[in-house]
Amino acid sequence: MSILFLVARLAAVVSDASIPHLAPPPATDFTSLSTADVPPTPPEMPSGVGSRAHVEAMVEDAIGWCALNGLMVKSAGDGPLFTHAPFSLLPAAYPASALEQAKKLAPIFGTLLDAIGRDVPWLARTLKDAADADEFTRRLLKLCAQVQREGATQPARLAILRSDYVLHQPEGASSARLLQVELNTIAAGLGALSARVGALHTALCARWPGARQHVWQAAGEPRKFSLRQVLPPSGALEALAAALARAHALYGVPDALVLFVVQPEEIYALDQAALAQQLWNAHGVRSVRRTLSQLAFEAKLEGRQRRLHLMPERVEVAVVYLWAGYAPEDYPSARQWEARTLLERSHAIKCPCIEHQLAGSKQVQQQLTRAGELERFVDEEACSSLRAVFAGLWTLSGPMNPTADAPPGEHEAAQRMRLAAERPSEYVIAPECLRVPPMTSFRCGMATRVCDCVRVPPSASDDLVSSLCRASGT
Amino acid sequence: MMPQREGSSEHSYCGAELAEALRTLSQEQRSGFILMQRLRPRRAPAVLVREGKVSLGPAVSASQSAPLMASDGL
Repeated sequence: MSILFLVARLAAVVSDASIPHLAPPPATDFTSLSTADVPPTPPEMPSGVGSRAHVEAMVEDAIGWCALNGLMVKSAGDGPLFTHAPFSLLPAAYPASALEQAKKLAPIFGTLLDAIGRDVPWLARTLKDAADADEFTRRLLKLCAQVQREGATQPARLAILRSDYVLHQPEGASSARLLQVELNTIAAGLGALSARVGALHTALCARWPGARQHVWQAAGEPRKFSLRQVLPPSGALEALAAALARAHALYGVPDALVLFVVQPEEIYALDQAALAQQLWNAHGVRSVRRTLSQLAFEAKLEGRQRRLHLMPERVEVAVVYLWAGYAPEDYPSARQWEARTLLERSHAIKCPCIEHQLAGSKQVQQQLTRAGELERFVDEEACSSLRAVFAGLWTLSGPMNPTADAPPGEHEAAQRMRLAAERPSEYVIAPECLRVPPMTSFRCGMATRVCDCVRVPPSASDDLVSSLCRASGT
Repeated sequence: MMPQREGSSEHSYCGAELAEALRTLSQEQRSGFILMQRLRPRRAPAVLVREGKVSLGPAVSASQSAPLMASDGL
């Protein structure tokens, strides 16, 4: 009797104390959005978000969410191992038409890269000036030539690209234009972490009226709108793992590994770990991480096909995914170059192959903006879609005052240099061999990329599936 | 999103520095550089959080899409 009484009392206490926590989550349907409890927003804050104190409480909640859900990066220096990844507290409004345009362009860039990767003489010609000036480009081209001479035993290639855009809107312009900053063809990372930023925003909107009101206002204060529609989940992690799993299946050895080639100190190790986990959970594919220095000892080629094996276990590698190897610092000695050469000569499917890595350089981007060059690789319709997002890029080679009989290209370049000198605020000059791409650009502006609401087009994996099916003849 | 900054990298020039560079660099030095249209991204107020610290200010969004592509090389 007394025991029963005690239980009943305990139950009463528990249910009393838990009312605020057990309440159902706020509706994500904006028709039921209440903004009555959002304190007024001071002018320096994004619209609708509420007072500074309200925002600070939201930030604390957001940091907890990061820890719970693995939105973390390695800490620099001594101190804790991990810290939350830099993020934007709220999603930024982005025109749906621009995102649609970027999605439509995704497979076209894939086709373009594939075509460029097959035209090695064009690549060598385009990169000649850069190779003359830059040792690293020279070595990559030399490796490409060596692989071509020997003949690849693996015709399949996998490309995981990342095309970066901004909405270009000069002062006074009434609308913005989507312009491409660059196409990353190697070590295009942060798919997993950026998808989690999207999930963080969704979680905050469900929990905080200020976040909901901000998103509602950014969406134009519609009468009816669902959170899922405004913040569609990113399929990046799933699509990336599916791509690697498809390549692994195409290779055709079920027990073979996916090899992540990584830098020794990797701030985004968890981004890679999330992909490895997804690859295992969703596809049953094992992966390992090795640096180029480790591979110099552990990697061996076996048989006439030069199948890649890792020692001492002698386990076969189906797919080589390079998260390193894009900058000279990744090759401090001849050993790392030997390891890269061995990977490149192997039967494993490379992501990217050396040709695709070279195709991602600035000089190639610049050459493609010249009349007639894009047309070599893709059809007319694709050309006009691509040109719509190309920013202006011009060579600075050649004389400032070319002679009358100089080729038209030289006159064109000289004219552009004069224009730039007259209106220098409209232009930027950057080193030709600047390897801004992949992770280096993340390092300089890390907050930046991580906090974007990156959305991989849901169709990306479908494109991959269809092209792989063609590849394997099924 | 990134805090709005002048120029894109420590090795890049724009504005008066660019005009100066075009005047002073030799033809050979110049060919190590590339000329680009200056992008003026649209800005919006944002709350950015890094290592627990909050910063407020105009920021630009960069969107990214990830084409995935495989081919048989034939």
